[in-house]
Amino acid sequence: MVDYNNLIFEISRQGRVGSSLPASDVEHVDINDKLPKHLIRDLPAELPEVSELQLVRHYTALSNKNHGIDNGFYPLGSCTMKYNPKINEDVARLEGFSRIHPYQPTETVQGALEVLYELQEELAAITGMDAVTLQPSAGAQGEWTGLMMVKAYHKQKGEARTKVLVPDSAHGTNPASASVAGFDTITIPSNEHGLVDLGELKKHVDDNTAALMLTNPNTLGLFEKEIVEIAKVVHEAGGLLYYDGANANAILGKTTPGQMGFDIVHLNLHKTFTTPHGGGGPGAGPVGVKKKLIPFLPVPRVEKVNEVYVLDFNQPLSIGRVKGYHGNFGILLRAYTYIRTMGAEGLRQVSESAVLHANYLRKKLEPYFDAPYSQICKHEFVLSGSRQKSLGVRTLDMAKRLLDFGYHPPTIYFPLNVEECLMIEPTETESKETLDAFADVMIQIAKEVEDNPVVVLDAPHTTVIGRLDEVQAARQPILRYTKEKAVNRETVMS
Amino acid sequence: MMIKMTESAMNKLKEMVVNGEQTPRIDAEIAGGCGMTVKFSIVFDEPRRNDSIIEMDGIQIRLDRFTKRFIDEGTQIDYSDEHGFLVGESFVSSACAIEID
Ligand SMILES: Cc1ncc(COP(=O)(O)O)c(C=O)c1O
Repeated sequence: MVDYNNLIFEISRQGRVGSSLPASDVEHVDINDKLPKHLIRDLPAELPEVSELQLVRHYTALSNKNHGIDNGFYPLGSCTMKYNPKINEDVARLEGFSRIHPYQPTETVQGALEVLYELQEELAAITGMDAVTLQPSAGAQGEWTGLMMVKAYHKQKGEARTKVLVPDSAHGTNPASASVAGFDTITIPSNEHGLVDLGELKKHVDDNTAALMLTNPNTLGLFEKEIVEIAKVVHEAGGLLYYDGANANAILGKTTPGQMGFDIVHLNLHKTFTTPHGGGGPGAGPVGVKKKLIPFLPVPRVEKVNEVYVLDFNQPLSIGRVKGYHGNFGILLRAYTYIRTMGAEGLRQVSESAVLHANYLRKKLEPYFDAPYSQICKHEFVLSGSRQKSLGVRTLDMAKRLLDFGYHPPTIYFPLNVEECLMIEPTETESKETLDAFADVMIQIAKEVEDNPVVVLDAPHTTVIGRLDEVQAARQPILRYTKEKAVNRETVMS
Repeated sequence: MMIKMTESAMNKLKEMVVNGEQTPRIDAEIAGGCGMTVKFSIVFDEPRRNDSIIEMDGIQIRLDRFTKRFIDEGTQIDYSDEHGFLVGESFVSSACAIEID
């Protein structure tokens, strides 16, 4: 077991430095003579003062405690925590890419623009769309960008539609993006099979419907089989169809959102296309659109004119720029590398294996947990901890117990329409041995719930920090470091 | 751990228990996604293993160990015909009080 780390502020000693600079050969100036008083701080900033070695040890120790896909299995449903091939990193570090600047004249960065252009083309083909913008830096920003285009599209037609329909199984970012884009969200209940209830949908679709946002396969891992009919209902009312591509890992090379009838798509490159999820970023959420929406795409657009790559700013109907420069270029480059190393056949195999793995694990676990939608699934599936709840153990307890075995728990308590939900996405990059070992642990935990529940209720036992006091963390969160609070840390943590 | 029960909540519970419902329970439900919220409710259901039982004024109320973690000194239960049971920290800061249908 690793020890709890001191904060870098706590190992700090006044005057200690991590580097030594040669004596200054320019005249010393007093800052008080140069800046107005109100711009000068009264007290020195509390910056940590440590040696280089202390710094290295501190962050190495922290990184050892982090759980990432390179450490172990990470079946976090809806997040597609699959292996990020290291060749992506090699390519992103090539000097021709890492040493260029977004303000360079375009004729000096033709290679980088070619990558962007080619990636747009590849993603358009993968999604069945006519054009793609790479600017948005996450799925959620892609959603917002897409909805701003929906708005501009209706406005151009002289309509001010206000409603965006979202199924109750949708990710929270869907209704959130709709609100931020200025729409009212209407929730469409799922039917008993976990799919969009067509009857309910028809009740809500009218001439005020701007768009329907749909994830397919949905967050239960189920394919919306009636998608063609759903698309027809929305289109006939003059609305648009938005595809949340967070689950694209299930359909690569099999079908496309374009074929299903969608008009707008976002992809999460940090999910399907193996760019790192990092510590929350940077991500990339490119958006693809059908022809009728191309005029509204963000500028600048990367175009190819007579074999030369150019930035096109001249699009009067564009919703404008949604991100500085050209999006997270390093991330886009990694995704492009992945697509080119996999090829079309490789990407099809990705989805086939992802779906196979999910069904394999589902079959192994279903006897031990409630399965509210027991049917062939796509790349992920949900189980319910209802049976365990009646024995006094909750899904959160079981998730904590998984930490003792070195696994990142699945997504829990989402989607909201499943009681005590566990949402498991094994991904295609894991071996059969890993899936078997994880299943064995899940089965062991299910048995512990029956025979020895305390070991689950008090989990985790082997982590650096045991079960957190979630009540205190929620009621008295300490979000800022101060010396006084640090002194009291023992009491805060106990 | 102590739970405060308003008179109207107590009267309503007594009425429901007399009417032959099962034992009342304070139950915590979690809604997830990014971050988690805990909602409390009063339900009538079967006993669960490791339930705690609190007795107030002759009425037994159950809560499972999970729910107990989230309940603290300040938790109060109120009832009104309009809102049903409300389980929350304090009715002064009713932002934290949760509505029960
Ligand atoms: C179904 C679904 N939609 C949208 C999002 C939002 O994507 P991002 O986290 O990249 O903003 C997620 C991510 O967690 C998701 O799972």
